[in-house]
Amino acid sequence: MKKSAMPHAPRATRRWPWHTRHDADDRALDDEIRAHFAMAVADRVARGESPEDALAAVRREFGNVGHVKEVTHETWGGMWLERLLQDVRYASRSLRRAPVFAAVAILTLALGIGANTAMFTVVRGILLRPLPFHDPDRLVLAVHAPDRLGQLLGPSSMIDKEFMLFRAQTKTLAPLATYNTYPATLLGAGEPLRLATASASPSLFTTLGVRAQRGRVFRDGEDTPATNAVVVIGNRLWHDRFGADTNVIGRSISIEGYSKTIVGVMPPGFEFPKHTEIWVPLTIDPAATNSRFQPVVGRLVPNVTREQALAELRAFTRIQERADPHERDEHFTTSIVPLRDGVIGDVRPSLFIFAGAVGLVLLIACANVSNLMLMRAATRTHELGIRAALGASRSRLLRQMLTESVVVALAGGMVGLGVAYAGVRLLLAAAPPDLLPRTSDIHVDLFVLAAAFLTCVVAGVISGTAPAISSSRRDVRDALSESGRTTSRVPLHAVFVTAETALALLLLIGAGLLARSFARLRAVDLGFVPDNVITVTLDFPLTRYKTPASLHDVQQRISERVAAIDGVRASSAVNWLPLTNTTIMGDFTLEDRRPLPPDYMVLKPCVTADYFATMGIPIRQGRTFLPSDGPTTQRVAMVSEGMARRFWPNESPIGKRLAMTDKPMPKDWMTIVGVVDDIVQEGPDHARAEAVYQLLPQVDSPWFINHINVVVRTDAAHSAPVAAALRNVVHAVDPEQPIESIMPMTSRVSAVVAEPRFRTLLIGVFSILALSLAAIGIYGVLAYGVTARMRELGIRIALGATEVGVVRLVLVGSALLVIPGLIIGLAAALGATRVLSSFLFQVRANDAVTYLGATGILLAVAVLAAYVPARRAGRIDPLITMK
Amino acid sequence: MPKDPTLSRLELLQGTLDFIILQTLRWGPRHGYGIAQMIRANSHNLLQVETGSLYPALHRLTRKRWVTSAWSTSENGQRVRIYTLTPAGEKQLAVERSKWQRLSYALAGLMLEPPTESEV
Repeated sequence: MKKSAMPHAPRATRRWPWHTRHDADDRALDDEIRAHFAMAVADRVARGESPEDALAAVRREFGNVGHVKEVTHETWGGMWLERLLQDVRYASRSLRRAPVFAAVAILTLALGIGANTAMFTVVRGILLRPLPFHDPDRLVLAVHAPDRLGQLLGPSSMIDKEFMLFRAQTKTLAPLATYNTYPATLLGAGEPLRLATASASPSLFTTLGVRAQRGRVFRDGEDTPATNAVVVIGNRLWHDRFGADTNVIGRSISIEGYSKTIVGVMPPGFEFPKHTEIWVPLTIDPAATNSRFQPVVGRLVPNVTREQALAELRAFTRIQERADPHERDEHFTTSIVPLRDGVIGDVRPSLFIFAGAVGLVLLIACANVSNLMLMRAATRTHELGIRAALGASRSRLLRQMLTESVVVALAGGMVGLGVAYAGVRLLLAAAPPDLLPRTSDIHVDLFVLAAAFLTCVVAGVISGTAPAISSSRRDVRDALSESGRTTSRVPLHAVFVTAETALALLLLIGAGLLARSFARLRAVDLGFVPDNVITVTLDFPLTRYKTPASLHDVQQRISERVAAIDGVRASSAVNWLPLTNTTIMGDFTLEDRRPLPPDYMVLKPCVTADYFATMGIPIRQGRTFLPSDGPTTQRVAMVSEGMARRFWPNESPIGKRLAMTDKPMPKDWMTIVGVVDDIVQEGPDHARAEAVYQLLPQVDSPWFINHINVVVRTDAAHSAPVAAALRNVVHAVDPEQPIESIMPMTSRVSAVVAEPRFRTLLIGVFSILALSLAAIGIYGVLAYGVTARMRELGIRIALGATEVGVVRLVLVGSALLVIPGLIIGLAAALGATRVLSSFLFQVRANDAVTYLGATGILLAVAVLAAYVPARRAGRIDPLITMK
Repeated sequence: MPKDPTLSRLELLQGTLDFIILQTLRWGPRHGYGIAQMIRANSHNLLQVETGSLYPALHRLTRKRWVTSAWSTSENGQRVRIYTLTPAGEKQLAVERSKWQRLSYALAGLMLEPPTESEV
């Protein structure tokens, strides 16, 4: 009796030190109770009862020995750990006995927990982890920039000359530093290499509070043309290009043609700003006529608040504006922004949506596991009934079932950690480089592990509670008399299937909206034809090409050879291609001196003669640039249609003149010879931009002509050999000229939509995961339902129900489970997809087509999942089932 | 704590049971069975303490150090645990008793009203 009364009791385990005391107490209690029992029997016998009657009477009196012991145990205290271990052992034993259930449940939760852990790792790295600098909360960005630039540059810049003035007088931010980033060519360390480079105030490292791992960072004063021939390299570059050579300090390399000495190597993980691999001192020429906006970072001096710093910056900028009023009525934003916000940028909403989506996947996984457990509990009613009858209290059973689900979840979490590791790698590999900042801070750490553990426990409790309660509630007598068979339908199943259908539909609709939006984005007419166009990006170092004439010359030589390549239909050059993230915009002066609209800017690309033919940009009026237009002939320009309509609504712009400067000299005037279509410059989600095209050979400003894209239109069949030939042509003309990239124009189109594509892909993957889990859930419930209803269905068939009729019966049953879920899912989606609005392009968050489509897909999957069990139901042999 | 129907009757007596056990031990050390027998005898056979309540209570009182226990051998050679009232237990008993007296006095006043006419 004793043995079977406590099937969960440890069998004389000596493995755990804390058992010893309780084992001794346990034996003592046994003795005590046995003595009590014996005395009671003896007394009754002494009073004249027969030994058998006495024994039976005492047993009746005594009730349940296991129970007596259990409640006595509880008074001992300190039992929770032992009981927990008991429960865990019991759970793992019973899971081993049900390997299929265990495997399915563990894998389901592994997917859910793994995906969530992966996403949390990313969220932790980007949003939660402190910046890898000294006391990062004191670091801020000082901003004083016109709003229209804020759109272009992000909200974190200041004019370099203003920065110098402010740095000289600020008392709240010290030291103040500024920087800008660009790709630069590294020579002198293997193959020429384009590197993410930062030009930074020497004090940047002090501001951030970081030190060099080897050598030193910049010193104050190393920002003059005489002293700035120094460079600090990043750890990765040190490993990749210098073999982690400890003698690298003092070595000479060439950056953009300038010779520099390596003075320091930064520690691993330091790559501020963005993914910088190499730092050079920034030299600001206070006498320069041009000025540029760049980020300004400072550290709040002790005991100074952000508000005080802002007050100081405001006072400073007010004085500046009085001394040098802004042109026109530009509105400037002045603010002090935590550096963290600047670094994180606008990835936050994307991350929240990703996290929300994986959260839904986990909920669906939990619902599935709940369902599995319900079914398992149903088949275990007999076992649970016996245990309840033998004295296991309800809370004990409940606790045990919860332990079982938490054990499943923890096992799932263990597998899930593998999923998470792989997921993080996959995510980082698939994410477009500009979307995720701080990638070096993204890795699984203790914090993530703790969160994963917590997720497991919560997931275990969520998926275990309902089954535990429902099965422990069952009446003992019922359980025993039914000998393990269960009622045919448990409403909780239906609730879970409905819930996971709703959740899956929500995700599917979200994914559908993003996918439709992405399709719309791809369908945008860019104004040019990117197919079969190859681009070669070249940066000509001004140290090698010192005059405009030499630049024109080398470009001319390259162009001639490019035109001669076999398979090239048309070729030309442009300084700033559409869909690259740099654009040159600005204003101009009309011959009649009409004022331009406030804040009006146009694109100002410089192109060679065949550009429009090469790119497939239609000519609307007049003529295109011709080979006869040259450096010595009349200066010519072409304008885009939008600009023509804006300034010459009722007449032809042909023959009108304009100049690119504020106070034009006679030589600056350009005559408009033609009108072309507006094109998309920044990306398909931006409006087409108005433009003034200049003829490249007529432009002399070095900064407008040292960055060139050779653009080539080929036959479809020739693109690969042409790309190879292009590389050879450049090297034949100048063997030392690095090629920044050779890329089909279509790849550039893909690159600008990489972010929406990534978002669509990720949510798509999650929704497919959700859909599969929901399908498994529906299948599982119906398959179980058919098994449980075997007799009933058998009777129906015996009474004349046809196979089709039975199949229909089961299918209708599945529809009844799914349809409420669909309705709830649709309603939830109407509310929840609003968070996607800012990511949607030409698709509304309540787009009816998407909603209907997603509902249709889910319904189809549900019917498919239901069909297998339904068919099985139709083929039931009543003779077998009813025996 | 478990909510088992078989326990509910005694759970009402929980606080009281501790008091009754202490009171019983005032007549001298006893083993569990002896305590149960004595309670039954002294309550005119009305109170039957179930083992499921008795042993938890004894262990609870031991933890509170109101009783101590020692192993001994009974007259018929059984190894039995003998419970003894401690001085702290005596004190507790006094407290409980005065509480009980006040309560029973109050209850007597409330419950044992002189018979009314309708009862005749």
